[in-house]
Amino acid sequence: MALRREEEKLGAFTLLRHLRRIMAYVRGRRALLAACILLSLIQAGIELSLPLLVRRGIDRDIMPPYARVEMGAAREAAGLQPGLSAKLIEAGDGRHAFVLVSSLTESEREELRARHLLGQPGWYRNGEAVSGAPRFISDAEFQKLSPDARASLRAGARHGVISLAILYVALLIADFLFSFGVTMGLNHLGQRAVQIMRDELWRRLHELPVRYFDENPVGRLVTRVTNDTATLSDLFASVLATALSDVALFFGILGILLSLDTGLSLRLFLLAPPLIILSLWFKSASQKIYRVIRVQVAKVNTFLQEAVTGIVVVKAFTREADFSGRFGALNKEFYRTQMRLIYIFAIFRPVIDAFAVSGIALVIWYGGGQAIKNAVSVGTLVAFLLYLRMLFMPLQDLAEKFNILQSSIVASERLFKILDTPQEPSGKETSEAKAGEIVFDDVSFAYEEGNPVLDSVSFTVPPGKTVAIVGPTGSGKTTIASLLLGFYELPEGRGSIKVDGLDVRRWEIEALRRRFALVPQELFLFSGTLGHNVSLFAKPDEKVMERALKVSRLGRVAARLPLGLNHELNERGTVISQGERQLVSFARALCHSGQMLILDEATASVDSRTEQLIQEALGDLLKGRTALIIAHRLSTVQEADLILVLKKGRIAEKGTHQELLAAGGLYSHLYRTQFSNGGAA
Amino acid sequence: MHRGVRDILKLFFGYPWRVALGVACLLIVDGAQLAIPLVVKGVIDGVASLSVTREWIAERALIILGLSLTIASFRFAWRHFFFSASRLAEISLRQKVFDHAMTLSARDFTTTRTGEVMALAMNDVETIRQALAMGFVAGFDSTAYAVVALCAMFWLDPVLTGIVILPLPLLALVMGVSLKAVYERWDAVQASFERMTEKARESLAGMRILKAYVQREGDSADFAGYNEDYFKRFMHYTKVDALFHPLIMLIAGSCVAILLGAGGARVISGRTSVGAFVALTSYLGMLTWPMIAAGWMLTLVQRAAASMDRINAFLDRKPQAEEEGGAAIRLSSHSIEARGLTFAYPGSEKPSLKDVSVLVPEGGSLGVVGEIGSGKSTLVQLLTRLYDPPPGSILIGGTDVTSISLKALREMISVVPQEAFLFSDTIEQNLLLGDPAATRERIKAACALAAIDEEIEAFPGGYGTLLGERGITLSGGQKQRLCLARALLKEAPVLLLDDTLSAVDAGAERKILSGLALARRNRTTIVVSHRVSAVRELDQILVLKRGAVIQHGTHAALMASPGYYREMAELQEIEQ
Repeated sequence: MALRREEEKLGAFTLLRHLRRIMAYVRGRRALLAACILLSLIQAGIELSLPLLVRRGIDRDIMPPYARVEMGAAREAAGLQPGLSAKLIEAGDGRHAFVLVSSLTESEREELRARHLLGQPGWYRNGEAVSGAPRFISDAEFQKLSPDARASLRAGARHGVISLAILYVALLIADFLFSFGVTMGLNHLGQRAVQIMRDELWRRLHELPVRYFDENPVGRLVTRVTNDTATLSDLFASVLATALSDVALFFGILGILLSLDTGLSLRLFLLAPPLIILSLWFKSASQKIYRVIRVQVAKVNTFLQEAVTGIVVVKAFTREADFSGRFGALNKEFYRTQMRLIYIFAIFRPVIDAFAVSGIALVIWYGGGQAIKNAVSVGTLVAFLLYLRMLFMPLQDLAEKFNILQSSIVASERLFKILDTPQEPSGKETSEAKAGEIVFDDVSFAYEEGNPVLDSVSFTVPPGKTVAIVGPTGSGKTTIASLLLGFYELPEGRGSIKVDGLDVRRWEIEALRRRFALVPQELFLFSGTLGHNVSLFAKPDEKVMERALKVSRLGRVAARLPLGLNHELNERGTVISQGERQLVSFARALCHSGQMLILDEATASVDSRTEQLIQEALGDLLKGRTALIIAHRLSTVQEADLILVLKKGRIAEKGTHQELLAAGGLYSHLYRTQFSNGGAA
Repeated sequence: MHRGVRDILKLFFGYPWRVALGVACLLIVDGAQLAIPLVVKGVIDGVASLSVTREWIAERALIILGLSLTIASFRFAWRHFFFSASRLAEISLRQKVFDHAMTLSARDFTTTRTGEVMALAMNDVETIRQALAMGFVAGFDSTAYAVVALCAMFWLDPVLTGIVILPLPLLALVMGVSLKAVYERWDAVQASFERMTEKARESLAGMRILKAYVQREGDSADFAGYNEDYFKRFMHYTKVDALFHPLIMLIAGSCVAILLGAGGARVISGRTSVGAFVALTSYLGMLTWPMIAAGWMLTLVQRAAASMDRINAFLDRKPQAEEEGGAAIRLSSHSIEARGLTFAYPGSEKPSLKDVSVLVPEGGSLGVVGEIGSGKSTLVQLLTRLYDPPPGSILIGGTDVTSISLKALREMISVVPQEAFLFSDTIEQNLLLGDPAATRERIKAACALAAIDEEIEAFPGGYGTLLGERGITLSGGQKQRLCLARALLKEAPVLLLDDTLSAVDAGAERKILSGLALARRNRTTIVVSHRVSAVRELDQILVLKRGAVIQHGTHAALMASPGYYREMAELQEIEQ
C-alpha cells in the first residue's frame, strides 16, 4: 500500500517535471502566454455575464415594476426596516401602498414576504404619460390601453432593454475578438514550441551514434519527430491556458447560481452525484470496450494485410472462399463489439440529456413555486434555465483536457528520452598531417559480445596508395569502413586505428569524416535534383562541380536528361539505373573534398555499357588519392597496391594481384572462377 | 444524383426497417424536445400573471419530466436503429472489398498496392459509415428540428421571429464560405505534414551518408525549412479556424441580442408575453445546432462520396486473369515441355528467355540453375501463367498452358516460392492451407520431409504455436521449410520449388532433398536454384545464362567437362 502511494507520488512528480521542461519551450513568449490566459479569463467573465443581462432585462424592464401591498402590514414591516417606509407610495385608497420591487433590499423583501405581502409585481406607475388614468395601473388594465398609451407609459423600460441589447452585442463582439486572439495566440505558442522542439530533436538525432539507428527503426523515429511532437501543440493550444478558464467558468456558474438563489441551487446540485457516478461507470465500461475494439481492429487489419500480401499463397492453394469466410467472421466479431459500444452510448447520452431536462423540471417546480411567492423573480428563473445549459460544458471540456494532458506527457517523455540520449563520442583533436595515411593495428571488433566480426586485423594504407579488401559476404569488409569513419566506437584494448597518425578515438569526429569520401555499398539517393544528390547541402563552386561530373562520367548521364542536373529524381518515370547510381556516388565523393576514398562497391549487376563507364571513372577517381576499396568485382582490384583477402574476420591472404595469383590460394580460385565466365559475376 | 451519394444511400436502405423505425423515433424525440419550451412558457406566463397555483406548476414540472423520459427512451431507440444499420452496412461493404481483392490475381497486385486495399477496406469504409451514422442522421434530424422549431416560433410570435432570425442566413453563408476555407487550408497543412514526414524518413534512412559527408548543418537547415513551412501553413489554417467557431457564436448570440432588444420592447408594450419571450430564447438555442450540423453533414457526405467513388472504382476493376480464360481441364499425364520458348516481358525489347527447349517426363525431375537475371524466375512465371508464354511453347501433359484455366493450373502445380509467406496464425493453420482435411499424421509426415518437424515440436506450443507479431518469429530458413511442408501437403501432380531453400543451411538442404527424392513418386518436379547442391540429385539440369540454355545434362555429365556449371560447383564448395 505504502509502495503504491510512493508510485503515485512519483507519477505526479514526473508529470510536473516534464511539464516544467515543456514550459521551457515557451519561455521567450511568457508575455503572450500571460496575455492569453488573461484574455481567456475575461472571456469566461463575459460568458458568465450574458445570462445576467437577460435576467436584468426581464426583472428591471420587462416585468411590471410595482407591487401592491397592504398598507397596515407594510407599515408594521417598515417599523422593523427603517429604509422601507420611504419606499412605500400610498395608493390613495387608504388600504394599499405600492412599492418599486427592484428598489427593495434583500432584508426588506424578506420582511414583506414573511407577512405574505409580496406577490409578483403586477403594477405600472403612471406619471403624466397617460392623462385621465389613475396613478397606478394594474397589468390587466394596462393591456386594455391603446398601443400608443402603453408605449408612452413604458418608454423608459423600452430604452432599458434596447440599451441592454446593445450592451449584449458589444460583449459578444468583445468575446469574439478575444476568442480569436486567444486561439491565434495559443496556437502560435504551441506550434512555435513544437517547431523548436522538432528542430532540437532533429539536431540531436544527427548527433546520435550510428548504433542508435541500428536499434531504432526509421519508422519509429519518424513518428517521434512528427506525430509525438504534434501532440505537444495540443497541450498548449487546448489545455494549459484554457483549462484555467474552464475552472473559472464552472465555479463562476456555481457561485452565480448560489447567489441568485441558494435553495434552488442546492436542489439542483443534488443531481450531480448520480451524474458523476453514471459518468464514471460509462467511462470504465466504454474504455473496456475500446480496448477490445483496438485489439479487434488490429486483428482485422493484420488479417486483411496478410491476405492481400499473401494473395499468391491464397490462390496457390485455392483458399479464397475459406479466407472470405474467416474475414467475415472477424468482421462480425468486430460488429458485435461495436454494438456493445453503441448500446452503452445509446444509454449514456440520452440519460445524461434526461438529467439536463430534469434540471429544467426542477427549476420549474421549485423555482416556479417560489416565484408565485415572489421569493424568486421571473428573470432569475430564466437565468437558471440559461446557466443550466452552460453548467456541464466546462466539466466535459476539463475531462477531455485531462486526457490530452496525459497523452502529451507520455509523448513528451519519449521525446525527452531522445534528447537525453548521449551523443556519439568524439575526441577533440585533429591531425596536422594531411598526407592521408591509414593504419589498422591489431583491430578486433564485435557488434555484440561473443560474436566477433574482426579478429586481429592489421594493415597500413600508405599515403596515395590503394588497398583493396576482398572476401566472401559476412567476412567483415564493411565493418572496416564503418570503424574508420567512427560509425562504431572501437573499445579500448581492442587495437587501434590511426588516421594521419592520430587515433580515431581522439579525432574530432566530424573533422575525421571530412578527411574521407565514402561511396557506400547501398547506393542511397535523396529525393531532389540530380545536382542535389551530388553536392548534398554543400555549395561547391562551379569548377569543383564540373570536374566532379567529368571525372565521375555522371556528366554524360546528366546530358541525357531533359533538365540535366536539375532533373528531379523522385519523379515517377525517371529511372536512374543501378550503375548510374554508382556514378552519382562517385560524383558525390569527388565533389566533397575528402582526400581519402572509401569505396564499398555495389553488388548489383550492371549493364556492360555502364560497367565500362564505372571502370573508366574509377581509374580517374583513384589517381593520387589514398583509397580503401571493398571489392566485389575482382576486376576493380587488379590495379591495387595491396590486396587483403578477408575470411571470417581475419586476413587470410595479403599481397599484390600477381603475388596472390602465384600463391594459388582463395584469391586465385575466386579470380579464375569469375574470369573464366566473362568477368561479370 | 452523384453516384457515390446514391450508392451510400442504397447501402442504408438495405436495412429498411431499422431506418424507418429510426426516423420515427427521431421525429418523436424532436417533437418532445420542442414541446418543452412551450411548457416553460406556460409556467412563466402563469407566474408573471399570478394566475396559477403551486399544484398547477408541479403538474407542469411532471409533464417536463415525462417529456424527458420520452426523449431518453426514443433517443436510445433511434441511436440503436440507425447505428446498427450503419455498422451492418459497414461490415457488408468491407466484406465486399475483401472478397473482390481475393478475386484479383498476383499480376493485378503489381499495379494495386496492398496499402491501397487496406485504405479502402478500413479508412474509406469508415468514412462512409460515419456519413451514414452521423451525416445523414444529423442532416435529417437538424432539418426536421429546424423546421418544427421555426414553426413553433412563428406560431408564438410571427413578427418577432421574423426579426430575430434575420442573422441566421448569415450563419449559413459563413458556414458555406469558411468551411471550404477550413478544409482547403487543413488539406494544405496535411500535405505539408506529409512532406515533412517524408523528409524525416528519407534523412533518417540515409543517416550514414549524411554523417559520412558531415551534412548535419545543411540537413538540419533543410529540415528546419520543412518545419517552418508546416508552422506557417498551420497558422494560416488557424486564422480561419480561430474565426470559424467564434463567428458562429457571435451570429447565434446576436439573435439573442435582437430578441432581448426587440422582443423585450414587444413584451413591454404588451404585444407578446414574457413566457413567449423565454420560449423564443430556448428555441434560438436549439436552432444554432442544426445550422452547425448542416455544414458538418455536408462535408461528411462529400468525403464519404469521394470514398465511395474510390471503392466503386476498385470494385469495377476486373481481375486480369478472368479475361484470359482457359478451360478447367483435367489432364491424364503431367509431363512438362518447353518448345523453343522465347519470351520478352511486355514493354521490353530484350527477350528474357531465348529458344529454351526441354522435356520433363511425368514423374521426372529437372533442375534449373543460373545467376540473377538468367531467366530462371521468368520460366517459373510462365509455367504458372503469371505471364502468358507464346502459344504452343509450354505444354503440360501435351496441352498448351494458355488453354488451361488459372484455377485448374493452380490445382495441378504446387509452387513453393523463394519468398516464404506465412500468416500470423498457428503453425497448424498455416499448414492446413495446403490441405484443410489433412490429418495430424500427414501433417507430421510433411514436416518431417521438410526437416522442420523436430523444431516445431520443440516449441512450447508445438503445432499450435502462434506465428507473427503476437507469436514467435521464425528464421528465414525455418519459414522456407514450413512453406515447403505446406506445399507438400497439397497433393498436386507437379511440384515447383522456386529457389525455395536459399536460406536453409547445407546440411538441412541435403536431408530435405534426399527425402524429397523418395517421396516424389510420380510427381513431376522442377527445382530452380542458384545452388548446385539443390539440383545435383535431379534427373536433368538446365543451366541458363542471359536467357539462353548454355548447358544441359545430368550432374555427373556436367561435372565431367569444364564449363560454367563445374566452376560454379567448385566456387560454392570453397565458400562453404
